Amino acid sequence: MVLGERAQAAAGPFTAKQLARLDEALTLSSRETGVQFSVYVGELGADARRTAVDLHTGLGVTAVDSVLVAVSPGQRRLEIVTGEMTVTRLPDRACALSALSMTAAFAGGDLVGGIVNGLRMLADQAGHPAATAR
Amino acid sequence: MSIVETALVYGGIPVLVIGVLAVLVLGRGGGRPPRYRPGRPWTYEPVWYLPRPIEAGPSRPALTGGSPRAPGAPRTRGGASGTW
Repeated sequence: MVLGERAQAAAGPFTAKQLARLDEALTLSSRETGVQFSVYVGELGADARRTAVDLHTGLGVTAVDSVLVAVSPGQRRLEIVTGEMTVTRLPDRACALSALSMTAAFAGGDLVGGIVNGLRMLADQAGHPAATAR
Repeated sequence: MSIVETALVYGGIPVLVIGVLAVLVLGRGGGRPPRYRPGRPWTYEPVWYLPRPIEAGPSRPALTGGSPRAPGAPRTRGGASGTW
């Protein structure tokens, strides 16, 4: 038990294979769309929405062009925050749809699968930057 | 069979089998993190994954401009929430 806990603390929540999937999904969806996607996995506190918005603000100048997917597995909460520029490309309805898909996967215990599929849905909805520009 | 042989067959073999199974189960748990189960507490440190930066091309803005809105002004944001 102690051995297991020690390995767990050192290695983080995901295996190398899962991390590679997550990295690929993040990088591909960000390059495809020009929107900077990022994924936060951790505690979000009592006011999860506010914490997620604060994290999004913490991205600085790139915040307007980013989308934050914040997952709190301990609280079973998911927050998607879009910036000033991305909100036109990713309306709240599209975010809600992909949030629904993600929470369905999370409820089945598949964190990485849910995040990867959710990112894919968000990227599909956001489309290519050239197609939506102007 | 002598007493020693009986003890080995009926005691030694089950202990050996249990030992092999224990090594398989516990050894696997030490190498990889356990699967997430909804409702269990989340004991990991928060992590934030960002996409890899694009290697080629300048990342600096071509034009310098002021901030589009005064800092502190409310920004329009969207998004969605979910629970499971």
